[in-house]
Amino acid sequence: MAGSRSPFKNPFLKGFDERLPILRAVHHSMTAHAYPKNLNYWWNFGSIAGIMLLVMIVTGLFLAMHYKPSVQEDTYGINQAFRSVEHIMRDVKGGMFLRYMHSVGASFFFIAVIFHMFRGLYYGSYKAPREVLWILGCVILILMMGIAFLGYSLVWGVMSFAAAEVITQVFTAIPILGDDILILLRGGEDVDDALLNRFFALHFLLPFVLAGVVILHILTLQTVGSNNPLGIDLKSKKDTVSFHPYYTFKDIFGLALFFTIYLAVVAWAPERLAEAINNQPTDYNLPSHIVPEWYLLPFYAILKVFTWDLNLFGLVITGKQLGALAMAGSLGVLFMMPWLDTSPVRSGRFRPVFKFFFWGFVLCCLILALVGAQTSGEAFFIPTPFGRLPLGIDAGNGFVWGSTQQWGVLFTGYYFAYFIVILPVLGLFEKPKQLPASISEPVLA
Amino acid sequence: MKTLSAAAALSTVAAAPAISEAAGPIDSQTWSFTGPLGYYDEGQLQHGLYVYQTRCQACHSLGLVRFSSLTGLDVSEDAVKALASTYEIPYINDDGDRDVRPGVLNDTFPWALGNPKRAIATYGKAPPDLSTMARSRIGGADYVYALLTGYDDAHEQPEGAYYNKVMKVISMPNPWPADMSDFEYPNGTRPSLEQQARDVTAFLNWAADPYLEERHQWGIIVVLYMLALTVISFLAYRVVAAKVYAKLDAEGGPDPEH
Repeated sequence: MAGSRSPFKNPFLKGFDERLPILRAVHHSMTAHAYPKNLNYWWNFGSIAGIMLLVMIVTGLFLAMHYKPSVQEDTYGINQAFRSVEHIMRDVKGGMFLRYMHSVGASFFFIAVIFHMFRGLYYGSYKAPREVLWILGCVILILMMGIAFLGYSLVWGVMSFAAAEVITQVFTAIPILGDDILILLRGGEDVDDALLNRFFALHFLLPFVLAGVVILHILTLQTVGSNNPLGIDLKSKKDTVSFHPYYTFKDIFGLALFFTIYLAVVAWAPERLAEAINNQPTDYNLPSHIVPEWYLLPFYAILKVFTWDLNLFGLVITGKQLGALAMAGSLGVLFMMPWLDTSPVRSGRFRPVFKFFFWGFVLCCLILALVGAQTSGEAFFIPTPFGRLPLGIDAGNGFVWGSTQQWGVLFTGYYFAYFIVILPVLGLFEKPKQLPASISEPVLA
Repeated sequence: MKTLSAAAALSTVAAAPAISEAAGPIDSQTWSFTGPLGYYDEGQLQHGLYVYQTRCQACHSLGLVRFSSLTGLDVSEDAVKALASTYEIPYINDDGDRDVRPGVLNDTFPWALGNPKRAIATYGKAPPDLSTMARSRIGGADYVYALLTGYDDAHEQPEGAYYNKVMKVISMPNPWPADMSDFEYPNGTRPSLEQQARDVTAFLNWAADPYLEERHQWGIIVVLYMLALTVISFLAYRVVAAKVYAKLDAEGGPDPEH
């Protein structure tokens, strides 16, 4: 990978690089490595996500210097963990900015990763030879979800407690081992001090594991090369460009724009993306309406839509187990993407029928997010700036159109159908448009 | 802690009513502190503090708000010290006995009820700490204002509960006495019930988010800086792109096999 001679003229850099050839490896990947020259702005989100990980680690490190993972309550009935978070906001110099950059940053990290993944789904970035690259990305997503959940619990507010209680309960759906796993996760029977302490330890550790997987993700990218909007391979020097200076400048522009929005939210709406009730210390009662943070909503919807038991010739799978299976499956199916999509064409740009189902899938995820945020047994609605737009009508003796739960079942169905029916079948029957001969040549007439 | 949670769970519907009861309609109000340039009106906050002392602190606490932070209400440090010293702070004295001492700047607003167990023993349910109340309900300040102005004592209610438009069954009694005609602010004005609710809501919003003004000012500087950086980096990108395209047309990029 690295050239045999140091590319540096500066004697210090040259001397250092000749002793530890790490600089030349970076230099090589920035200047000599071939990138497609036609990457569009959807490709900005990878570097943005990487920088957001750094922001989260750095702000998190300083927060950890002031945070106390203790459920012990003072004479006000406020637990020490909650108090230490407020202490950061009120007494630590710059602490409010640190804390809000971290809590809002989690949302913006997910925004970057979500755009990054949908880009990959549209342009077929998971197809050969990028299977490992895609799978490492899926590992990153799951780690992020876990870390976000752990971090959310640390506040030890009303919804922190509910999240810790409900999500650890999900593991009891596992037959035989479930109860032992629950005790292992909680450090005991209850959601208590032991749980909070191990959640803090894991919330500190796992981001570094995540950073390790990100490095593997980037190394894999360096090996197999970037996909591009046309989804065709690099043919000649006419198709390529070096990363620096073209993509460094393009990425800096994308980062600046993204950070403008991110920091504006920190300044003016730092609580807008969060559940307000979590700003109250927990009293160990579950709130009547339990909702996770927005980025977990579609998966939470899939977890909770199964309200019936399934009887498979005497083998009963409870609704709770179905929900846990479905949620695990909704993530697990992502790992199978490279083999589920049978189309030889990567880019959705040349797949007229695929496009239709892809945007249906985007809509499906949005609807599932709404389902996750709403109450199962009530009429489903779309929130608009002008009020609620009902999509379910309760006729008194049952739903005419559909409850939140019914819409959830419908779109959970589409979620899975997209991966295990539509993509495999579509690849066999769809007639793709004519692919261009190369990135630098126009499409043949 | 476990006994506390068990006690809280055993208490009736009134347990965590704000959480379990569906909220009624909440009208949005105009506040000085909303919007990108939002700021606190220190005079209003001082009035709000006075209302808090008169109507709230017999049952509620501000366990996260230090007296020293009251200088943010444009009150002199000496006045804050004097105010702090009017509060009794429980502590263990040098003989090892429970005792009280006058409050100092570093103390937080104490809780007259002492601790959650005594609060529950007295009222059946602990009145919540108000330090973060204005940011722990959907609607924020609008919610607090709607709740404070939502009482209707004429409404029939079960024993020990009260009627409120926002929360139909609430265990918090109506904080407003029927006759407030002789109530006046330290400056001599006689506020209406709505005015008092408005002022104390502003104060509670400040208590929950004391650095809002700092954040708004920071935001304007940071976002203007970032916007400038965005424009400059876009122009830089276009300049670089033009040069790169010219070079690519002439000699192409790196070898894809490389």
